Amino acid sequence: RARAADMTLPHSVVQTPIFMPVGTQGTLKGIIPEQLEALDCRIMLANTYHLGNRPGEQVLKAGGGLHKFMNWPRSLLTDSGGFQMVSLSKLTEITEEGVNFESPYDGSKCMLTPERSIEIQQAIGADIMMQLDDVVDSTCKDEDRFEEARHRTVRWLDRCIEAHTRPDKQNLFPIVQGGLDEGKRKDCADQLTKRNVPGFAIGGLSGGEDKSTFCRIVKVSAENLPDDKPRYVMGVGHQVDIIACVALGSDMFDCVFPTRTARFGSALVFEYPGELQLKKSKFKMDFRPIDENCDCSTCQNYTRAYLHTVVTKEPSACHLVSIHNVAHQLRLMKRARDAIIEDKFPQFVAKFMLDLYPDKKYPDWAQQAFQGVGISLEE
Amino acid sequence: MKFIIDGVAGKTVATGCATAAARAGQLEVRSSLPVLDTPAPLIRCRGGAIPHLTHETLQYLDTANRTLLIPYQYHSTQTDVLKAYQKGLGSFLGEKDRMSMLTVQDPGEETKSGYNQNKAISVWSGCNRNIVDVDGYKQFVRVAQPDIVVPLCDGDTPPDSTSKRINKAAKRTIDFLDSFLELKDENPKMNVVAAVEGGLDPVVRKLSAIETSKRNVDAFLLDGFHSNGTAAESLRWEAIKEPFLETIFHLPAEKPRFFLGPAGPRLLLELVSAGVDVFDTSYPNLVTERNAFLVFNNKFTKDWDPLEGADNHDLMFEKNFENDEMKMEMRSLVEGCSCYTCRNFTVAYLYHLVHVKEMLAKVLLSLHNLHHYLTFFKSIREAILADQIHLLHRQILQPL
Repeated sequence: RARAADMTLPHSVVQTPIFMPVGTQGTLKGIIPEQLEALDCRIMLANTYHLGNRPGEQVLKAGGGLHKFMNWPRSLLTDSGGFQMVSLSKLTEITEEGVNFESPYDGSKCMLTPERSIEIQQAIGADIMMQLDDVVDSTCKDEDRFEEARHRTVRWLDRCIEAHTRPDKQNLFPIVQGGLDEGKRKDCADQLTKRNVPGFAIGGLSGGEDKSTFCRIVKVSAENLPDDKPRYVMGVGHQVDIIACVALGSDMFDCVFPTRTARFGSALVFEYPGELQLKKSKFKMDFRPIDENCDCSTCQNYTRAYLHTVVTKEPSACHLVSIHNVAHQLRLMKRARDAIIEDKFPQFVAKFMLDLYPDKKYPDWAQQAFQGVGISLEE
Repeated sequence: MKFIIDGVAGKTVATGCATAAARAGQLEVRSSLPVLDTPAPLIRCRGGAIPHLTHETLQYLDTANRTLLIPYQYHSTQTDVLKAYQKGLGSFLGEKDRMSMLTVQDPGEETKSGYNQNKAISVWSGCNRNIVDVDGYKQFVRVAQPDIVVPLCDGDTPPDSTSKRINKAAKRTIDFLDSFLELKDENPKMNVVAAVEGGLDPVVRKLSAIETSKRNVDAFLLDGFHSNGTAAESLRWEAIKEPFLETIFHLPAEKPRFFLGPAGPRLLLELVSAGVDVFDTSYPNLVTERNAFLVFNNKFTKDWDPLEGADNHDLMFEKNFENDEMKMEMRSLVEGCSCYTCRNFTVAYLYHLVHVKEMLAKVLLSLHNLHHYLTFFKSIREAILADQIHLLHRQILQPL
C-alpha cells in the first residue's frame, strides 16, 4: 500500500513519503534555516499554541507571517494548538464552543475555538494548517467520550472551513479521530471525506496505546481515506514506526524525537541498535563519523570520538547531532520513496529491518503489520 | 613564523618608545594557508568548539584566514585520544584547514586562583581539576600538533598578589619555557609564543621581558594581567599601563605580541596603540552569553574631522533585549551591518528567540558579534596604515 507522490505547496514541492522536523517555537533547536535547505528539507512544522502566545499573532502579522519572520522560504505546517493545550495545561475544559484552558504562563483563562485557531494559523501563514479537533487520549476508558469527540471533530471541521478565508494560500487538513475503535474511525473518515479538503491527518494516536493497536488503527483510517490525497500520521516518530506507517499507506510524518534525542547526545543510524549514545565511553576512540554513508556536514567533518567529548556539554554539539538526525530521517524517507518508485519496497523493508535487527528478533507488532500488507521479513 | 610589519603608526607614539607603537603586519605560519593580517583576533574555542558555532555555521562568517585559539584546559585528558587519532587537535575539532594556536588557560572563562604548584599548573574543565607538569604538557603538544603554542606558564597573578607570588610566577614560567623549548629542538618548525609574566610589578615585568627575549622564541604573550573571563572585562588600561609598557619596552619590535583576554573597544585601542598584534574573540563571546549585541561604531572614516561635531552614536558598546518595544521592531540589529544575522533576521525575531530561550538566539548573536568585532579589527588596521589610529580612537570613543 505504500505510495510515493509529489505534493505541490505554495512554498515548495514536497516529495512523499516525507518526514517533517519540528521547529516548535519558530526555530529548529539552534539550526539556521539555510542549513535545513542544504539538507534539502522541504517542509517543517511549527506549533500554533506556542507561537500564538509568544511572539503572538500581532508580531507575526507585523513580521509578514512566520516564513518571513524566521527566514524559512520553504513550506510550513502548523498544528491547531489543540493537542498542546490538552497536554500542557493543567486545567482544560472542552465544550462545544471550544477548549477552555488556563495559560501555563500567567494562569489566565483563555478559550481556543475553531475560529480562533484558524485565525492564529492564518497569521502564521503555514502552507498546511490543521483543524482544531477534539482530541482524546487514546488510553481513555470512556467510550462515550470517543463518540462525542469524533462527532464534534466533524462539526469543528465545518467551523474551521467556514472560518478559513485563504484556501488558495493555505491548505486546511481535517483530522480523523475515533479512538481505538475501527468502526468509529471508519465513520469519521467517511464524514471528513465528504468535505472538500486537500489532505487528511490521522490523529489521536502515538499516545499510550500499544503498537499493534496503533498499526491496526492507522491501517483502517488510511484505507478509508481517498487514495488521491495525502495522509498525515501525526506524531510519528521512530524509524520502524514510520516505515510501518508508510507500508500501511501513509505519506507524512512529524516528531520531535530526532531533534530532542540529539540534545542528549543520541545520534540516529540505520544499523542496530538504531541510535548511538555518544556519551558512552565506547566512543572515546571511535574515529569514524556517525554514519560513513551520510553526507551531512556533521558526518563530513566530525568523528564520534569528538562528539563524545562535547555532547551535552557544548551547545554546538546539540546542533551537530540535530543536523545529522534530521539528515538521517530525510535519507530514510528518500530510500523508502526510491524503493516504492522502483517497485522494490518489500525488499527495502526487509533490508531495513534486518539492518536494525541483525539477530532477526523483529518486534512482533512490526512483523504483523508488514505481513498484513504482504511484506515478509527475512527469517 | 614570519612576521612582516607593513605599517607603524608614527604620529601616535604617545608612549615615547618605538617598540610600543601601533603596527599593522602580516603573520604567516603555514605557507599553504593565507596570511593573517594584524592586528587580528584569534577565534577562541571553549570546550572544544567555537561557542555556538559549527564548521558549517562558521562559513556564514568571513573567517578566511582566521586561526583558532584552543585552550589546553579543556583537553588535558585527551592526550591518549589524540595520540590514537594522529591528525592533531585542529582536525579533531573539525577544522583541519585552519591554523590553531594552543594556549593554557581560556581567556573567556575565569581561571581559579591559587592552585598552581612548584612544578605544575592546575587546569580546570567544569568542576574537574587536572594538574599538569611540563612533561605532560609537552606530551600533549606532540600529539595535538598546534601550529602555534604557548608553553606551560603560570599567569596566576591577580591584582592583590604578593610579591612572592609574582616572582614565583615569573621564575616558574621561565623554567617551564626552557624545558619546553627542548621540543623545538625536536621540531624546529614549531612556533612558540612565550608568556611573559610579572603581575603588575614593573620591575619583575622588565626582568621577565629581558630574560624571555634571550630565548629562541617566535613571539610573546603578555600574560598575567588578569584572570580571564567576565571579571577581566572591567580591566582598565590605566591600571596596567605602567607594567604593560615596561614589558613592551624590553621586547624586540620585530616579533609579534599577543594579548589574550576579553578586550572591548577601549582596552583594545590602547593595547593596539601600545604595540600588540594578536588578540582573541572572548569579548564578543561574552557579549553573546549575556544575550547582547555589539552596536559601537566599528568603521574607520579616513580624515575624520573631530571638529565637525560629535558623531551620531552614543557610547553604548552593546544593547540587549530588555526593552519590550523591540518585540515589534522589524529592522536589523544594527543598521548597515552586513553580517548574516542582520541581513536575514529582525530585532523582533531575536527578541522572540531570547525571550523563549531558544538556542538559535546565541547562534545568531554570535554571528553578529563576531562579525562586528572582526570588522573593527579591519578598521583598526586601515587606520594604522593611514597613520590615523589616533583619529579612530576619538571616532569610536567620542562622547556625545
